[in-house]
Amino acid sequence: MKKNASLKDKKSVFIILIGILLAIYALTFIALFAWGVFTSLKDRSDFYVNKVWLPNGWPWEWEWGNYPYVLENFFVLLVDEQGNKYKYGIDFQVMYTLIYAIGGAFLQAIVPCLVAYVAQKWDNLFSKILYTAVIVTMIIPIIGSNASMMVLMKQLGLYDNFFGVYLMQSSFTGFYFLTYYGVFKGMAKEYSEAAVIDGANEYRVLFSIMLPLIKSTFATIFLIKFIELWNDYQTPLLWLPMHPTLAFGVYNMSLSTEQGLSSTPMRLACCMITALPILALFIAFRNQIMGNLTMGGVKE
Amino acid sequence: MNKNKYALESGVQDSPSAEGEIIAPRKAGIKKIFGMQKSHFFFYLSIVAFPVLQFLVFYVYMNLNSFMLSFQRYDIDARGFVWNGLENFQRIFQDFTSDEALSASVGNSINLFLLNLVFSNFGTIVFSYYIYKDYPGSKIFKVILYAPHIISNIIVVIMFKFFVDTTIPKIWLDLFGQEIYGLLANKDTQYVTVLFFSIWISFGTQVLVYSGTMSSISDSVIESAKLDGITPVKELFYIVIPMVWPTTVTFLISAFAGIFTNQMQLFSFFGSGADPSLQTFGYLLYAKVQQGGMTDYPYLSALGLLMTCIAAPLTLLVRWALEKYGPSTT
Repeated sequence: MKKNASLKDKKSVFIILIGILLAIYALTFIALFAWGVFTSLKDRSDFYVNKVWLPNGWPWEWEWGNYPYVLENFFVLLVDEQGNKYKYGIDFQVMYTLIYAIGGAFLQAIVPCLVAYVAQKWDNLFSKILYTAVIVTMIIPIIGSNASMMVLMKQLGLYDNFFGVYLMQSSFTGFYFLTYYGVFKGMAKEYSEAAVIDGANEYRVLFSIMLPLIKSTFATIFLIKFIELWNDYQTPLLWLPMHPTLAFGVYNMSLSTEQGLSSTPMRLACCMITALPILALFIAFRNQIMGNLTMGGVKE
Repeated sequence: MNKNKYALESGVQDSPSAEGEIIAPRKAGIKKIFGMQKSHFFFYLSIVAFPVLQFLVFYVYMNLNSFMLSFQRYDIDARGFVWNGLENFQRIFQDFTSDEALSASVGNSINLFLLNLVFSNFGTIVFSYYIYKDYPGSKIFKVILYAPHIISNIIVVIMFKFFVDTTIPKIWLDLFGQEIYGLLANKDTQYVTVLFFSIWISFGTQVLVYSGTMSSISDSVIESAKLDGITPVKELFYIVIPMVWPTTVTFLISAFAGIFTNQMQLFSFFGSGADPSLQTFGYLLYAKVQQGGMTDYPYLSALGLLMTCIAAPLTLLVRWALEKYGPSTT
């Protein structure tokens, strides 16, 4: 009994310490985000005198008009190689974001899935080569290849188009190959074997049996990739310079003084508008995204 | 029953007979390619053809081209790359002493890596353990740790930038009656602030993977340890960490592999105009490709090759050491 009491004390100190650290972390993030939301609802003069606290007045008196103003005035001004100027409003940015994020997420989720399936099912020399390629690309870092990729993309005529970026990103290598590989390896073979007995060919087994069985893992990876691509501004900035996505637009806005969104509240309102769809998506699919994602690791 | 077993083991598709029984085909005479039945081979080929081609073009060829570019320069008159020997490397070594950005990149990249190793990697394991054990608030902590990955990095950066540059000086003034510069506007605090931010938002995905992997640890192992009176600290170090060691190895290898690619969020904070004293190799390589043209690419490829020559053997050495000397669960 005495031993149990002493154990409980030790447990409390260690766990409480981690709990406090996590609580501090959570508070800093919540405080920053809340500050961002409240600041986006101030007008310029209110923010000048009141940088810390809630906007002046009752909530219905806050500067809600910042949001429609941003929707109307959030644009990206770009100049192409010939010197022509193009103005992309929020409608174009949303369209480009959806093309980039949906197509890219689907390809980045399906390609490693298919390759992991065949590599796990047929343990031959070629499968071993594929598996080794995944491990080698993960453990041997190759740095500074963007320059060469740029030359290649321009030579192939794939620079600044979505098809080129899709091709560039449709790699089977990476962490998710290992995730799929582990999932397929741990699956019971009875379903596919029964289908083979019933005369199903390999395509039928794959698309009608195996993929539906792993749809949860696939959906999780697709959602994680979709969020990642929605939020990514560096890839579009480098490879799709004339196809600005929303994140690209926000980056542009953060450094530009050309737009009417130069005040801090307006800029933060623009951030909130961009973050809102992805937050809604996350809330809708939080269990799927935050579910059990495991990885076997590099070591087999 | 035996016939079915034979059919499956031989990898042959059978068709049911009129009586519903499966007739096993002759074992002899089945052509195999790569140890597979012909139809399986064509299925296999149809699945891997595109990914393999993509890999050959966008990984193998692209990296070979990067290697070649390191020894070339862009000839404006010829509008093409021409052989340049070791000139790019000579320039880089000269720049290490004369170019502030390049010389600062060495220290900044290593500092960031070490801080990440200590705080992010170890912090992630400890936080994941708390979440895995389902202690109070763990569900909300899990969401908040992942939150910086849900919201775009550039949005978090903008909020943080305005907060530390406008609001912190105001809070300081109200509390201490003293005017200070914003933390990013002040050159003395700029570096520490950016470093802090990089660590602060680095937990997300790893926490998801770790807590998922930890939840697959057998309950019986934990229960028997509890019966022996194990403390949480010992449980973490002697049971949980060894059980998730392959995942730890993967993340540590990624950390070592990323020494020279981590941008320290500088591009999000400053665009291509970050102060030279703040820059890392990751930032430098991205910003120069984004800003530069054909004439810059050979130099950047050579710089990348040099970094690869350091990072690749280091990563392999670390992997070997982690697997040889890491905890064993057997």
